[in-house]
Amino acid sequence: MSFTTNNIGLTNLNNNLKNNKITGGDIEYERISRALNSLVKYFLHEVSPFEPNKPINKETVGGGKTNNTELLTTRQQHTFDYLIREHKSSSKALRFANLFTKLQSQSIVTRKWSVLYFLLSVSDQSNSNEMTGILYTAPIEQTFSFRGLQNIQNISSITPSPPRSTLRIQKEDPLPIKTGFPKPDLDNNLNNKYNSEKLLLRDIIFIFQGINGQYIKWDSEAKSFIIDLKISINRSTVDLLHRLSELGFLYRRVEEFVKMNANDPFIGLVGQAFCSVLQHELTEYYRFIANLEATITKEVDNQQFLTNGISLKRLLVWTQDSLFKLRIMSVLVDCCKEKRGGALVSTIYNYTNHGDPFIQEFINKMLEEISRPFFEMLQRWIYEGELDDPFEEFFVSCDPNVQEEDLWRSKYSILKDMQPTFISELLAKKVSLKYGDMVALESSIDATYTATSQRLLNILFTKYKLKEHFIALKRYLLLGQGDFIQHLMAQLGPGLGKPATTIYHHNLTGILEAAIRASNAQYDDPDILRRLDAGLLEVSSGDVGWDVFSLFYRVDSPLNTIFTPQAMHQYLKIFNLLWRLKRVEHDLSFCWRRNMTSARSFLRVEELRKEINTSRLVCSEMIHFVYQLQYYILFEVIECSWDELVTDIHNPSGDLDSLIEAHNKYLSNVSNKSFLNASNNQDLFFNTKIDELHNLGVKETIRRDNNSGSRKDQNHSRSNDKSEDPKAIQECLNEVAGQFKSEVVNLLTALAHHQDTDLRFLSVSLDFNEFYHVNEKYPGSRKRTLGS
Amino acid sequence: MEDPKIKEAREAMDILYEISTLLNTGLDRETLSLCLNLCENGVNPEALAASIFIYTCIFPKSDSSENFEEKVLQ
Repeated sequence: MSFTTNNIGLTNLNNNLKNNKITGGDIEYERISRALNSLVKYFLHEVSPFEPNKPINKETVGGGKTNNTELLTTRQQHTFDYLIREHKSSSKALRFANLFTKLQSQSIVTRKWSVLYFLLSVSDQSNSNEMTGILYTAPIEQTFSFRGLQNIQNISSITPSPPRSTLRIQKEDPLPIKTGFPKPDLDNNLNNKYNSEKLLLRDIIFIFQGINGQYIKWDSEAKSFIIDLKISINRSTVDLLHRLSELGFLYRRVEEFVKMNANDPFIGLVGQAFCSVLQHELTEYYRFIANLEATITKEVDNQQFLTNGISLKRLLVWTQDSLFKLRIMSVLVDCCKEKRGGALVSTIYNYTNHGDPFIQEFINKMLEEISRPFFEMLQRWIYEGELDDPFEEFFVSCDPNVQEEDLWRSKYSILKDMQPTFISELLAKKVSLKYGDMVALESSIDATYTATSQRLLNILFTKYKLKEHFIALKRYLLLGQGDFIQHLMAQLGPGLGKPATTIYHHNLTGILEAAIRASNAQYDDPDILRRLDAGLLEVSSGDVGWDVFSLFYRVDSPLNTIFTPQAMHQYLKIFNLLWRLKRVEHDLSFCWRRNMTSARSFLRVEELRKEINTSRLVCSEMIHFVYQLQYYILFEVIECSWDELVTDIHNPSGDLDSLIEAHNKYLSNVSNKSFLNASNNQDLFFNTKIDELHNLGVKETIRRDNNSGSRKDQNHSRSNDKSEDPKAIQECLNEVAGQFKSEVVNLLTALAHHQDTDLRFLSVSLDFNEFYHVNEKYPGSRKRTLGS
Repeated sequence: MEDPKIKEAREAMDILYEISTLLNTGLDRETLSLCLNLCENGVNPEALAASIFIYTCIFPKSDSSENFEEKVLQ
């Protein structure tokens, strides 16, 4: 390297300077650069003989130029690495790398390393500038100066005296030369170090694959890799090796898991998918290791790795990504050991909330593969209604022992812990109840859910005539079909008065058939009529036929999904109430008929007129009450609820569940408002009591009439003892009427304070002219009212 | 048009200046080019860096480079 070329470069740079600076300082720069040039010349001539070992001088002399190029590039590499490491912020490092490559392509700068090194050292110094500045100048004064540490630069420029600074320079000058010394020594040592590193690099490649190396071996007792103590390597290398061997350790764990479980049938489809994903990742890892190995072998063979430098440190950096992945996999392997199916999927899903985007992405990718069999299952379940789950991994489980009628309710159930966390409970419920179709999205599930619901309801309504059954139940069990009930009552009346034990099922059936034939019910669907059946409730001693008689409506699958035994039981309860009401009404009307027919024949019996009149009044009072009650139950309660039910049935967005719900609501509505709800014990009590009283009253009246009728006959034959009987009859009648009235008043008070508005309205309709109200206020006047 | 060599030199200068700002050396363009000249001429970069350091310690940045020259010459 001659001076002339340098001069050309220098002038070029100076020209460059001139171009950059348009102000009039050109001559000054010429002068400065010339002075510098001469200065350099002077220094170089002066210094070089004294410092033969100095690398710079070697380069300047240019004797070992070919040898030094390699050294230079290595140094450049080191500088570069150092800079990269220093500037951790990636954008800066990236920019620097760009500039560096650009610089390398520049031919005009011949001493790239020294330029870079210079810049680097200046940068180091400027970083530590402030601190050295404090040390350099009088520190205490400045620290306590009133403007504080910030003006140290300004103060320091004033305080130091020139001799001190020159001293500093002199002291400073030899320092870089000294620090320059170790470099060649280091280079000499490097060969040894690289040799050992070469072996270690080969070893570590084996370790990465979980295989024992020459110096590093797997210790099965300590469950870790240990380094052969025989070789002497320094501590930092040992540390590096330890950190690198983590890869091998993690790899061993993951591989062990995969090997153990890949062929295990117990782990199920999802588990198998998990294993396959792990295997796939391991293959990627193998590829990476193979690449590494190839590079290392090549470099070691060509003795090249001094320049491009695969070192343990570099390896550590390169393997960071794989290390992260292996770490995650090992964590997943740990936490998924005991889990299967949906539980496994949800466990892994929990990791997708990881803050590190790298890990998050990795987990997401894995999860996509792992959940594939799960979603396939889901798809088949939704689309085709098939539960294709050989290893019981799905969150819907099928109970094969469940009978057909309970199919809707209990055949399929949701397993909580198998349910993936990303499928909400609501969604899971819908899935479990439906045979529909689906994509993973809830919205589409909703759409198809409605579609299948519609289809299902359609089937129920057309094929199984659900609506007809609803109507039939209302007609027969809730006494909607008046003529039929009338006939039934008339036919059954005489028979049911007997004790319950003497009534037989076949007799009842016969009567029922007759009633059907005699009424409009005969035009009904024979299928429905076939289901209608008369029967007896459980007979207890003392019961008469009235107490135990009941109508039944037989339902079979699939209708019993809606008409559950509970629902049917409620129907039965309502029927019994209505039946008793009807019977009272029937008796009362019979009584009224007798009254009417006997009125004329008793017309002449003056003594009995008062009694007969009283009995008519009591009778009509009772009739009024029963009619009002019946009206209330049949119209206000049943019809209103029925209307609601019909609206619900025709609701286009409804499904089977909502239908069942609506039906249940209908029934509970009806029973609530007819005092049948168990919570309304008091009402129920009143009700039965009143029923009893009705019966009593009716019987008494009938008896009285009969008595008077017989007495009338007696009147004709023997008129001597007629004064006795009417009195007793009158008393009895009064007693019955009083009892009835007090019960009615009690009921009205209870109704008036009931929460339900409908029931309060009932009390109004029962007592619209405040007849009982007055009586309540003046209990003493009751008798008078009765008597009048 | 410029001489291609000058152009090249300017490019190199631009790159190095950018690196220098990236490394936060605190050198301005002129000082940098002078230093680069010195480096090109074979000056020990470490020594040069040390002298630059002392120079920046003694003189705040507002001083002109003439003072620097004087200091060096001393």
